[in-house]
Amino acid sequence: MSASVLAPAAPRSARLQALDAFARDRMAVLGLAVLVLAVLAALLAPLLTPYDPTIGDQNAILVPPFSPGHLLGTDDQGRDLLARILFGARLAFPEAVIPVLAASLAGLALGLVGGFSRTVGEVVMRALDVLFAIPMVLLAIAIAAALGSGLPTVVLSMAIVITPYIARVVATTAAQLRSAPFIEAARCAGFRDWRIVHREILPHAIPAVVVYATTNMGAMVVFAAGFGFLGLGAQPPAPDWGAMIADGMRSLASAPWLSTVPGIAIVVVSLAFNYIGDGLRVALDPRLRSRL
Amino acid sequence: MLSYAAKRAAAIVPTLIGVSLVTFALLHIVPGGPVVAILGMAASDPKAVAAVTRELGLDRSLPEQYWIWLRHALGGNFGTSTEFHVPVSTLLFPKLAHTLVLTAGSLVYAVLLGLALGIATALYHRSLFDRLAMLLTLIGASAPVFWIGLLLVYLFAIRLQWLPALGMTSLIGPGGVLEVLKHLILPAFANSIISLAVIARIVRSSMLESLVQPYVLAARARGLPRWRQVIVHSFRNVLPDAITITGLQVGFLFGGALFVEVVFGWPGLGYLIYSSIEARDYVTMQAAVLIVSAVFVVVNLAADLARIALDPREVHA
Repeated sequence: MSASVLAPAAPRSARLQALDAFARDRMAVLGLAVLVLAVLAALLAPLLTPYDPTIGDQNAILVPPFSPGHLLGTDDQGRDLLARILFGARLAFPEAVIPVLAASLAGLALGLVGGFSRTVGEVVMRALDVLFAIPMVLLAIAIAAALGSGLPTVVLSMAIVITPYIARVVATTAAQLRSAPFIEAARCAGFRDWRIVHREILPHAIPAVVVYATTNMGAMVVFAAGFGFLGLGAQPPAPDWGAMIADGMRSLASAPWLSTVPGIAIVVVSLAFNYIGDGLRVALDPRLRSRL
Repeated sequence: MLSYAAKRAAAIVPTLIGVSLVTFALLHIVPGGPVVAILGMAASDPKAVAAVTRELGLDRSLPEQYWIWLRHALGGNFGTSTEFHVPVSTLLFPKLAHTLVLTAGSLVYAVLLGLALGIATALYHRSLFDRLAMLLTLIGASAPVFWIGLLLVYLFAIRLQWLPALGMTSLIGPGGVLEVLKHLILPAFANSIISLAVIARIVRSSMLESLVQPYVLAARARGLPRWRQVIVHSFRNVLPDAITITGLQVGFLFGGALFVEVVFGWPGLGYLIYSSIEARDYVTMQAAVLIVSAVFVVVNLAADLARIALDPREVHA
């Protein structure tokens, strides 16, 4: 009998176990691969296409997809659709990611106060409850419309309406921990509130925010496209995916690819995010992981 | 039960006050402030500016301005549309009815197809049909609803020419109910897709749990037909979950109708909001947002009360 059998298996770190669980989820890995490719394509857009996304070729108007020289066809101004999709990704990713990052920071701050302090927290959470009472997309659109169209307004109004959702996730975590033994211990050790919050509670709140943000990133890509569709996002001739769908609406009967192609781009990116989010959620939650 | 309902109903009052505060603030974040927002092009006319400032107390403190605005709104006075030059209230209420019809139509799709799909995929768990259906619901839930709407228009209205894409004008038009229903088929389906996918997924996972419970095995042992095992014994126990999730979707369907209304030219509040944004008609937009949010709150309350009436255990939980 060798020693290795008797010795207990070395406990693997929680991080390694999570990574392992994620790697075993084939769809999540596929989603990650697609996403990495999409980000690379966005970064390398000028190398991948010879065309300018905003300048059309008057001799190549409404060329259907799979034509030589124009893999995805051209629009009514002769602009190459593949070039517009590639350069459009440079708008689509920041438009989805920046509001979520901003809302995560704001949501962490508000949620920690809301979940940890009993008096101030109650006020903060009641105020945030009001924002849940207004349909999220509608509120964001109204804010963007009032402020005036453009990328910064879209990012700002998305961040405003996402913040309460993230704050709620954080507040729930913080409230659950408020009376946990290790918090009591920290209190008995004489630590001040702010130290307990940022040393003991914050490390538990961050993974919850990361999972929430990732699982919703796909929806954010779609959300951002909605502004473009309504004409509130990046202004023409910027290759905004949502705005491209709206432009294609006018020639839906004669040139259906104009709306179809950017929609497929949105679905691919949003699906990839959704599969990654699912994989991450399962990988970071040991209860769900055991069911695999 | 009744006291709970009363408590739950009373809780919407502070919510509605909060909603009104947020909506009130919308005009104040317009560059140039409320005067520009309310008057539009006419803001260069000092007489008009003086008149609107006096009427709405725009030279007074913010709380006073809010109070004046709220009193007007509660009395049904939402101001005058800068685009259509009529009182906004005359625009709002016919549109509200149209949006509610669209919501009801979407709810029918979401519940019927969602339940059917959820039950069927649970019965054929891990089959090709199950995998395909789950992939389709995920794609449907990951796609922009306006894009799905356009695909439906292209397929059913332009290519097959089975259904009209646009042209819904009024509920009480010459075509009658049948005409409205014909115009409702595509937009209601497009609007329902996300909720349909959510309901199907919840029902599927609940059914999977319920199908292996001892009482289903007992029903099988007694030799009951398969449909009775599934519908009477399993599905009965999925109902609370199904009702809860459906209740949550009602408000979502109502609040999310905006994009679908734009694609299909459905003359509801969403379309009104879209055209008021295009025309920079902030007064109309503000009123429409207020009405949609207020109805959203009430619809969610009604769904919640209905759920509790059907499953009284909730009250004590």
